Amino acid sequence: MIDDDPMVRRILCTLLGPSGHTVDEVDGVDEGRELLATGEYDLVLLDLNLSDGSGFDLLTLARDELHLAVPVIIVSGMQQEANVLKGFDLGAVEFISKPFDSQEVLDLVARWTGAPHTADR
Amino acid sequence: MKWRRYGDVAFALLVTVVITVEGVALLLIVRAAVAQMDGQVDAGGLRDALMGGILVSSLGLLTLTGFVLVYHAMSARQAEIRRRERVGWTDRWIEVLLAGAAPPAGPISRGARDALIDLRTLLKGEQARQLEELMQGYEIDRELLTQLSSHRLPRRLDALESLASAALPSTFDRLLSVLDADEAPIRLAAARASARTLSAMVPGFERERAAAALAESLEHSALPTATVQEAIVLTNESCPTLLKRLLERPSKMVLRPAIEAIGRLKLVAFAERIAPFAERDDPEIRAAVLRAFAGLGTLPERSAPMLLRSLDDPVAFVRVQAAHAACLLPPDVAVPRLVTLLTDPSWWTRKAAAGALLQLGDPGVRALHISASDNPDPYAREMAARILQDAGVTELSLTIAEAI
Repeated sequence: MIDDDPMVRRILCTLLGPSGHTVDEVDGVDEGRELLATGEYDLVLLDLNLSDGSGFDLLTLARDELHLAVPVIIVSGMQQEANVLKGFDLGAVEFISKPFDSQEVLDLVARWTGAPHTADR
Repeated sequence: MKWRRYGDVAFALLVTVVITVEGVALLLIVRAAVAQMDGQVDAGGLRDALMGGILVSSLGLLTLTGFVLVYHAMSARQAEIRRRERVGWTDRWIEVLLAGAAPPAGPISRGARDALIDLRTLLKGEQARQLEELMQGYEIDRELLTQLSSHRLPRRLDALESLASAALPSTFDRLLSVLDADEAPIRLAAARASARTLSAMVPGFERERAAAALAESLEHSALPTATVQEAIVLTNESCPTLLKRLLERPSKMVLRPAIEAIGRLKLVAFAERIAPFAERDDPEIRAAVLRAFAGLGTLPERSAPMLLRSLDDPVAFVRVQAAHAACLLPPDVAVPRLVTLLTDPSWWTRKAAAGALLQLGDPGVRALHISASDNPDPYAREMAARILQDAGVTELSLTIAEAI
């Protein structure tokens, strides 16, 4: 999970942890790049506004430089049409706009990791 | 960082005291100087008065500097304390929302309240409803509305910021009443808060009523059109409901931003609905409709004659917008009219016409090449050549494109 807002990271970790997912979290492009380079992840949740750059930069880097095929879900408040289209152009598989519905996040994560998800609590 | 907005009264009081003391010191120095000239005081007396004056001034400056330094040090410390408190409470509220932990008994601290409000900006759906119930259970709505009645501007702005994030429908009517406040920053913050509150309302009668009330309040709020447009955009999923109401209002103060928001948000469903406004007497409304069509990237079939008429509008900025929107017409209709517009008296219209021709692709580019060399109007030739040059389109590239 790559998001500059600690509150979003906390929410998503709390949400995904009990579903059996192991979540690593960072807040910037550089750290995100280091994690992605390990190639150990099944899914990336990516914000567009990061502490040291743009999520688009990281997305481009993941595709062109690291040649990763890991699915990327953008989670962002910048839900203007241009950003959504650019995200998909760069290879994102889904776009979740903030504020988000936790059930929607669980459903999408389950779909892209192939894991069963915990439904309503 | 909000805390930094406070302290203005203390600083103003301190500055007043320091200036008053220094004024008195200066007066004493002048008095001593006059007395010395009259021979009533010797040189030693004047020197003492001068030294006293310098000492008082220095102390005054030191006091002011000390205040500013202490203020910033305290601000940083205060901000850090608040941040830690918020982080702690965020974790606790997340446990309540997502792990079923029991909520703490009220009343809750300021940090707990702020963390709860922050979470409201990130979650929607079931958790948002839970948050709303929690906030009402702790009477946060009542607390913020009380704060909104404060006579202090920073406190009211803080209350409006929190109300915007909390987006509690129970506060909506009170927010509308603040839209006609005397202070412009308050009106702006109230517009944002009411828009965000409307955005959180579920579809139904209450949202319809709220949208109608907001449309009416925005019309009478004397807010700049840019602010009205911002408020429209902030309503998110409630935006179509609000726009329907705004398009029913007679004032251009809300009509123009509503039409422009439709183009900006690409709400194609409204294309038919805004078309009749292109016949209005007000040129700003006519231009807004044309700009919206260009933004939407589509033109209702019945609106083509209107667009063609707009290319001859007596007002130059309307012709500019019509030229931009002319790309939406079939090229065989648009090209001859845009070529005519290249001879328009307005430089901006000529530029818009040339730009539209370029956007129309091959037929438009070909017309630009012909205009650049053969148009009898020198201004048309100059504009056509300039646009082609800026776009890097040469005769050669056109020939290659045609050959391909």
